Amino acid sequence: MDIAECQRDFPVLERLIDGQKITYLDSAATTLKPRAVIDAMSNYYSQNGVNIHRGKYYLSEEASDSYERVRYSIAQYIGAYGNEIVFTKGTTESLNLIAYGLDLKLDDVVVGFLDSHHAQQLPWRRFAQLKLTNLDSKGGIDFEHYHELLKLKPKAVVLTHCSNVTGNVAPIEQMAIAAKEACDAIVIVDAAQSIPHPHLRIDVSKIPVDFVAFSGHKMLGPTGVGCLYGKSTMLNQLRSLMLGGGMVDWVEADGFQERKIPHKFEAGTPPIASALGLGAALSYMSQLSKEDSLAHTQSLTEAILKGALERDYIKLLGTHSSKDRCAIGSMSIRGCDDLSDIAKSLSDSYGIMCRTGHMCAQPVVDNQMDGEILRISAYIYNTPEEIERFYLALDELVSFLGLL
Amino acid sequence: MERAGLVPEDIVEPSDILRIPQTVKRDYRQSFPAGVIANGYNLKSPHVMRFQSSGTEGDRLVSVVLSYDLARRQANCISVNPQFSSLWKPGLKLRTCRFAAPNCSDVECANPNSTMESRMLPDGTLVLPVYHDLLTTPERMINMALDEIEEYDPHLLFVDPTHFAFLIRTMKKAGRAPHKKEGLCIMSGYTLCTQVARRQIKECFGREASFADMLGMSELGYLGFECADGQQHMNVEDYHLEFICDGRPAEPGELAELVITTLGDQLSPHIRYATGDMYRLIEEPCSCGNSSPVVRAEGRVKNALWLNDDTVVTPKELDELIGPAEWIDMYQMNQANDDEFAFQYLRNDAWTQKLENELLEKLRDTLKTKNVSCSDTQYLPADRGGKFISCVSSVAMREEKRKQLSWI
Repeated sequence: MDIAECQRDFPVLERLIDGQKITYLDSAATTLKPRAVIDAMSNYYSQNGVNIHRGKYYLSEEASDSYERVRYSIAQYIGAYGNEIVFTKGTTESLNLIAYGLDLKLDDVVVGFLDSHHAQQLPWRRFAQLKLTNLDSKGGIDFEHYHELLKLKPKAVVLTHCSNVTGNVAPIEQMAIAAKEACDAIVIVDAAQSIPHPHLRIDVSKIPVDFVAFSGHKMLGPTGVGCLYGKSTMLNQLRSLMLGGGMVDWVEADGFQERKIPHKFEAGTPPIASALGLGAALSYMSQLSKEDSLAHTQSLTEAILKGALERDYIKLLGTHSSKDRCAIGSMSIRGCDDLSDIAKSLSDSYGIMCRTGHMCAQPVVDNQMDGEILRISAYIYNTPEEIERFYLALDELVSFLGLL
Repeated sequence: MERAGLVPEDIVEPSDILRIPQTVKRDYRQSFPAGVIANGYNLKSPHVMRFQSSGTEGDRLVSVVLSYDLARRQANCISVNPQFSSLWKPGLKLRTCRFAAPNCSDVECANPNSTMESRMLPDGTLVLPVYHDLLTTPERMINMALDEIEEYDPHLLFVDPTHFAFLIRTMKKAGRAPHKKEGLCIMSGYTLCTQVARRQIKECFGREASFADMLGMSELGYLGFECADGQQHMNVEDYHLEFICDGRPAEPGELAELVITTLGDQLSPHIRYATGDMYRLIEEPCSCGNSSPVVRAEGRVKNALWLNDDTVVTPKELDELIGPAEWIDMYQMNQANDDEFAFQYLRNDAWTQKLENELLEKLRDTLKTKNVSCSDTQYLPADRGGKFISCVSSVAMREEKRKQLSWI
């Protein structure tokens, strides 16, 4: 698949708002959906629409087959076994499920990272003592501090493959090896921001990670579905978060027996259409080569860095190198305390959709930027020209808003 | 026949059978039970056995057969191979263990809490515990299967070859050995017996056990059997067989669809039943001396690999290309789209990069494209029915392709 041509696969990009084309720069929040994903979901509702794992009738078996095939495809994509993929609502639920299910004690130490998403911090704070690894002076991970924290013999190390605010890509393989060597810590990876990129594909059969969490909607799929990969030995020990139908083999008046993994974690009717959409998203994404994915990401990242570094009114979060970085630019604007006016004007006057706030990563934003930030995040359907257009629009806005 | 303007009296000569419209699986699925069970019979009638095929892609089917018809078909097929004659010893109460994908019978073989008793069929066949997704089978179920083989001590192991090769690998890893080899009969069926699976079974059981591959269908039972010389013979005592290519009888060597008419089946006759299975008739008589037709089973129409020049490579042809490859434990070729082939395999200690490169070159030559990827993996999913298909093709599922090879 030619990345340069893929814009046409995204129907929303054909839309005009007030006669203006859309430039979507908020893919770190959620990606747009290609037609193949929309069709897969629509086809389920128009041609099937029934529940899975419930009946013996034709439609139910057809739906069940399609649903389970998605599980197998995901397993193959990340080098896992089929029974090691649990469908969840998304990364947040996956991480909560692990934190809840690991039977942590409140005095257990968990090592995390300052630039992690709230979903990779708050669940651990609830069940254990979370110690955060700092950023270094260049905005990257402070590895010296990480190794210091490993001396505390943490029960778990909770990595973020790619930060949703700094865009930093962490060397998770080395970090996982260090965690195992230091204290055989359980290694949990938040892959929400890296899974959309084939060049950052994780092969769990080759690196010592125990759990990986990601969301469908950040990898071209629909909202409401995500995955938790867990090594079968770990999943077998993990306590279920939800109880109910579909996750038990046998129920008596005074007891029950849970189903085997992964089904013991999937109580209730799942988001079937979304799972099928996720399967279509994976098929679509799999058409991208690693080389094209890397080259495109680098060109977008370079455009983001160049634009920010050329303007002295912008303060950029994270490292200033396009190496090991995704196309995410989080910035503050000198003299601007409320970025919402800028975001609104970028949207309404220029058709540029980007986000302001703390990006669900308030500790690092407050620590590094003293307040809210404006974030642009680009993906396969974006071009470096769109990034340049964003900066030109920003120049105009800060000038007319009297910020310069 | 009514729609074709025919009445039974019109069928006088053997050649008249070509005038009868073909039937397909869908006809039997849609007509079950009222339209496919003869008057005077029902599911509770004496000797009526019921079989279900989980199928794939909505192909499921419930079939019925009279137990003595099934036994006769089995005996006629197996008679081509004297190594299996011990199974017919007078007075023998045959003990069979079956290890194949679940959903083939009404027993709960995929339930880890089931017992041997609950999985015992009336004919003395013990259905061993199996899991829906072969490579994720819990260790407990593997141990149960191995323990039960020892305890039941079968005369015959009737296995899916890929499933059984997996059981052998896990048995070896656990430091266990077969409880018995001498005199044991092993038959493979259900799916294509790949040469890598055959190699592993033979390596484990050696010459002391008899091994042969059967040809069959869940709706009819045995269709053919491998003789002692390794050729596949078809049963023409119980079936009228047609090998159809482009709507006409195929010449020897031509790729053809097998169309079956059962003979003497008073319960649920199949008439010109298009199987969706590809065969080639072999003209030369078999060195074993048996005169029944010799064929080469090429695999399912829906699993054929379609090349850019509109020719096909059958699953059997692919398997011959791969051969017994000592460095491969299990493989799957997947044609996801036109000119898009992915070969994945489980490798073992005998693997070398050179061997992989050589195979990749052969695959590219045979498939006439550079768009063939080759990679090792630790996981290959089974299909939802539990069968593991070594060659799958999305292209072959297209109606326009399917119709070129089959009436289905």
